[in-house]
Amino acid sequence: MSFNNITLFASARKRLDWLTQRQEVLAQNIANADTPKYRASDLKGFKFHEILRRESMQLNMSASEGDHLPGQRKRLRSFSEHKVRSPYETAPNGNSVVLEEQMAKVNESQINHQFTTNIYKKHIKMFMMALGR
Amino acid sequence: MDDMIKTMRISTAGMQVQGARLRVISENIANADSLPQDANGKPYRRKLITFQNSLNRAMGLNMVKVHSIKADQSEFGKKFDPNHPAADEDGYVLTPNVNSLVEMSDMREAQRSYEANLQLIKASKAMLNGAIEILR
Repeated sequence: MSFNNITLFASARKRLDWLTQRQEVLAQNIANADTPKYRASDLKGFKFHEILRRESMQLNMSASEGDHLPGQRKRLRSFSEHKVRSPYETAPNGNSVVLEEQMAKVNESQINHQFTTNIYKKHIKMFMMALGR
Repeated sequence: MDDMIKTMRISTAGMQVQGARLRVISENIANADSLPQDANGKPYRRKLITFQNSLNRAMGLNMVKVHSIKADQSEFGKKFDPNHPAADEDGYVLTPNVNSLVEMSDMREAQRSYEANLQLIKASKAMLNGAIEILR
């Protein structure tokens, strides 16, 4: 039994992946808060039905023999990044990072991360209950 | 887990460049009264720092770093002091093109950016700890 085949665990893990990657993007933005011509970027929103569709749409080659390579298609970065089109403001040097906005986003991801890890934990507890422990 | 560590590295690079900026600012403020030695000499010229986001090959990440530290080309100030050894024939001495008000506000901005990076490291750490909590 793999945990990732259970729907809730799988989607919670996806969500955590998304939040982690977003945190990286936000870190990049904040580190470049004073870099000339740097434009803030963000991740594309986390939409459950889209993730689900992508999961079910992905077709992998099947191997008929054990020596065959799996030929699994896997993307290095699972969520797409984009430059923010209409930023709050742009500095005269072309930098469009607003620290307050970025910090608010960091806070948001932190809360969401906490929420998701708690759901994960609760789900594990439910399994424990079913196992009678 | 690795991704969170990467996030922290990016923020650390951000803190580093803000530190370098603060160093340049302190140099400017410390030399705000560095006058020339003689009539032909030049006073201290203000320095400007710029940043750049570039690929760090060792980490495989884009990290911010100091691009250049250049001299501010704006004009020097003048002060009437005929007894000064560096005074010209009209009795004026060139003064550095440092405006302490500008330096102070620049310093505050560097401080804010530094704090923002620090807060991000704290947030990442809290998230990482939250993920580790699942193990318990």
